[in-house]
Amino acid sequence: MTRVALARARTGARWYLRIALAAVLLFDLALLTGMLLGGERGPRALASAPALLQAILGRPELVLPLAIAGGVALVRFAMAPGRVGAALVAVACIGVLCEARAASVGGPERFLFAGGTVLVGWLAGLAFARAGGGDRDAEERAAELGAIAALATIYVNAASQKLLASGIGWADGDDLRMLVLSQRPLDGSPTDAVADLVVGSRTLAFTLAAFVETAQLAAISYPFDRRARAVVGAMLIAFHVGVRLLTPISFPQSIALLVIFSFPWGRLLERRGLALADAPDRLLARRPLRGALAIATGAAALAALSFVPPVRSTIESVSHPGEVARPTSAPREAEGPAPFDAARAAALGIDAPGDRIGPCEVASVEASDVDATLVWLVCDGAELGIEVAPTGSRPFHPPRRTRAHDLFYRDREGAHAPAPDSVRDAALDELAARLEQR
Amino acid sequence: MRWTERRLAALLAIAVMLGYSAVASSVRSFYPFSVFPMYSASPIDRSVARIVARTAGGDATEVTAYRAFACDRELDVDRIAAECGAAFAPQYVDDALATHVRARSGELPDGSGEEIEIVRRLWTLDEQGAFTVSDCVLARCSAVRDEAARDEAAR
Repeated sequence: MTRVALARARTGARWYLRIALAAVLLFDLALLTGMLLGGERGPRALASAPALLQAILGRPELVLPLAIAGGVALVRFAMAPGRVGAALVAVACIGVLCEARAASVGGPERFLFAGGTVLVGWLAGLAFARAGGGDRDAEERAAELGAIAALATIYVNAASQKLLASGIGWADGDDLRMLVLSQRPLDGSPTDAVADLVVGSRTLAFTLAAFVETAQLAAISYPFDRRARAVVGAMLIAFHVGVRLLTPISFPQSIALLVIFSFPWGRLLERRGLALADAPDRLLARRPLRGALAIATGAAALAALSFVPPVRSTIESVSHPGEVARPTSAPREAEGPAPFDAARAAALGIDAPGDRIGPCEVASVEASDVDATLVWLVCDGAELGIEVAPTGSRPFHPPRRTRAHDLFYRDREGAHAPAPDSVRDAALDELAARLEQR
Repeated sequence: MRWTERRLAALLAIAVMLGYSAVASSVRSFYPFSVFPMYSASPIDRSVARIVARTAGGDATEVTAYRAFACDRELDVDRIAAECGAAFAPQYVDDALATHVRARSGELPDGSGEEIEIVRRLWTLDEQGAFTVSDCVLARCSAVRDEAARDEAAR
């Protein structure tokens, strides 16, 4: 029966890649299911996450149907080419479980994203082939290229983020040494000695950091040339293995995807006598610009959807935990006056409740921590909290920083209408400017 | 324009890369889209810290090498910055270690534990690239070592 099923699945120009991709996603699904069935809510569980995501944790009656639906969809996707609906169901099921996990631990766990990213690329390739009038039998060639481009984008984005946040200085090696110190195992294992070596040698650390940055930036060439793909793929695998040697950080799914998509497995299979599809191994899009337009339209629609208020608040609640999910002070009581700590307010240049900060009015000022002050503002009916802490006192990157202060923002727990981004940014800018002048 | 196979592939790849990045930039991290910003920023003030167990002999070891704790105070990671100063420390690592200690805290039979201190070890990088190490004691505990973990490490 298995042989019959496998024979049936061996249709389509890239059946072996489709099956391998489905296997990686099934691994993600199993991992998430286990985490959510057995996991406890972490100390930084996101109270502002949607109720559905919070409700899933530890509830087999919710987790298992999603896992089964996702699993069935992945098997259906693997069994035949072009099953877009099954792939979308799989992404949706894994997505809900993944975001439920994020809600339970206080933020996204991106090692679970790689499979979904590559599947999105696969679907984009199918869309390109179909909108571009390609040969239906050969559309998995386009799906393969889409998946490869999506895989490359993971690393190009990671490199871009490093350059944007830290500049070329990220590769000076000191950041890597500090990262290793903060995460390395202290268990007397052989990898301890490797970590000692990296921490102790600025030159070695620089070499490794430069290698990481080079490998990730080189991923931009990954989709465009088969030889470059094999070289860059091997470099990226080496990067993941190196990280695992020095820290407990592990990305097995990414390694698997790099192995799957970096090397010419099709040729190897053909040499072993496993016939590939009879379809021509070409893209054959008659209207390629229409294909590219289909991808651009889909991306634009998704980006626009992400700004629709209910969707936005859901994304914000699980996507930016560093900014909105600091341990919150208790929600303000509905009864009684709002707290106003005059000394803390004066230190921030606020005289009294009702003072204007940008487009908002001050509602309350209170201590949020020993060293931090929380200012609640009312902005056109929406409540916005700005936490002012000493510069560098939080392990998050603040949306605004002055010489002496970091400014974070948060929405009121359970608030239905968070302040719009433009209003929030204006209030942050105004308060930061005041603090800078003091 | 003649669409060769190479040009078609390049057009498709560029469309996917730009499309994915555009959506990822708008959501930052929402499955399956992300800009993958992990560990992109330099540690604050060139200081980095982690929670470790310090034995009576002064050796640093993993807190997870112990399976039972009786401490003089609860480990509260939210107070670490106030008590020990600011430094880069991955929040989820501190949280996991504090959860490990809290979940295994209780009375220990007399004499069954080893005296340890749970400290926040801070490394500060100087201009020459050398690290200054300092410890801030978070709790003093009697703790029972996890023999299985020790055996595994020894192997």
